[in-house]
Amino acid sequence: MDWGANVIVRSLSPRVPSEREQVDSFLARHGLSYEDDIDYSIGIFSGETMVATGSLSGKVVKGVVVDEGHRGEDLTAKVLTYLKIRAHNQGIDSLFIYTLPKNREHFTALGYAEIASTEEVLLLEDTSRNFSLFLSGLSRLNPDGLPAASLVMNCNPFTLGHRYLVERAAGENPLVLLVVVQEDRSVFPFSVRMKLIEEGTRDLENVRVIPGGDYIISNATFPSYFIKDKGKVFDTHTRLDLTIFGEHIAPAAGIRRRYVGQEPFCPVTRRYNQSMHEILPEYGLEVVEIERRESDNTAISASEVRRLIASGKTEETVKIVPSSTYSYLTSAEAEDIRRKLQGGSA
Amino acid sequence: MKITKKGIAGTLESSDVLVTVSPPVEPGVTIELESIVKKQFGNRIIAVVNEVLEGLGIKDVHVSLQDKGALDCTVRARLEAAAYRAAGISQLQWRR
Repeated sequence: MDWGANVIVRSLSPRVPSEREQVDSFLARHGLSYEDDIDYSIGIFSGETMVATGSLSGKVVKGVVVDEGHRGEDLTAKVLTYLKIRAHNQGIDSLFIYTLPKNREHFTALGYAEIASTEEVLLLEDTSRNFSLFLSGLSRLNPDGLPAASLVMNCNPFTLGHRYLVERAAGENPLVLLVVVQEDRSVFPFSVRMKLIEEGTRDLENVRVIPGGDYIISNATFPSYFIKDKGKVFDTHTRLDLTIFGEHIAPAAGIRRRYVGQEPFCPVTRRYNQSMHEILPEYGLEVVEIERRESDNTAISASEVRRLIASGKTEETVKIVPSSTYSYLTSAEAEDIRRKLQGGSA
Repeated sequence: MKITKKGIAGTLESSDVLVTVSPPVEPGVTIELESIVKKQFGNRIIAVVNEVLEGLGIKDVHVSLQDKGALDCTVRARLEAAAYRAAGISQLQWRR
């Protein structure tokens, strides 16, 4: 491709220290910090001087900056084009970008479509098709418009505690949409988590198990949930994730209530639950928080299951997981996962 | 021509268009257009897209365009390139 003679475009690998340093220091000069989950960057150079950069972390565009002296030369478009082509070659379908709401017009002019925004952050995707397909898929799950309840769960892995929550929701609502976090950042891969949830809820006729895709607690809607970032960034992303849920997902699927388990341990999840109470009622949604079920006076949790496996006591999980999960955990198929947990990384 | 995978061509720069051609979810043609001149030239761009698709004999496809004010000839060229890529054809049959 011919980009004109004035500038050179180079790809910069995060794994090459000198190249990473170039991006890092350019971002630092513009008040941004380099994020560790970046997996690809490009730099645009005038001579040997970097004048613009942009990076990708999976399907999320990060750190797009053009030097003050070179604004108005359409360099943002150049950066985004390169990132788009790189993503396309990696089999990535669409790109997401986070930016400040004041940049809305800048990115919509580049063909990006707004997914949702809060006062502090705006999320766009470079196509509006995926989100509308996702929403129409949700609508088809509830063709009669029943007042549905929803749970969003990671289930790493599915326990009797999760089962108890789902049973409660299934008993109190005509239809339950159980959304499984799709992002693969957990010990148990998405396909396994999904399978164990499906098997463990098969007898509940009004429960539909669906993948959360890119729009419910994903790396796109909620990066800091996975980084376990603290503080303000986390709150910003929480609000964005719940705004998408309240504004788009709930109306598409006829959801009226969101069920959530009380969180005694993880401060991140507890914070998220608290925000649900604050934000979802703004969209007319009721948040139902269910106390944890206990077994021998300890709350049942997936982290307890992982701890037992890690200390070589997989058999003891029998008390806190459904039989479908138990037979998976003790199967030859789960050998790799057991070994991974026993190797110390949870 | 049968669209079997995703094909992409063009850029996001001024006077150009980034065209993505992909297999459709349902049979038929769907066109998604984002353009800085959609109000003025949206219908014209869509007419050009339909004309090119017809010329190539493509009946089932999803076309997405991120347009920065491309001329008809540019839209045409980018769409043809993306379509050929999406059909896995590397030997071009130049227009008669």
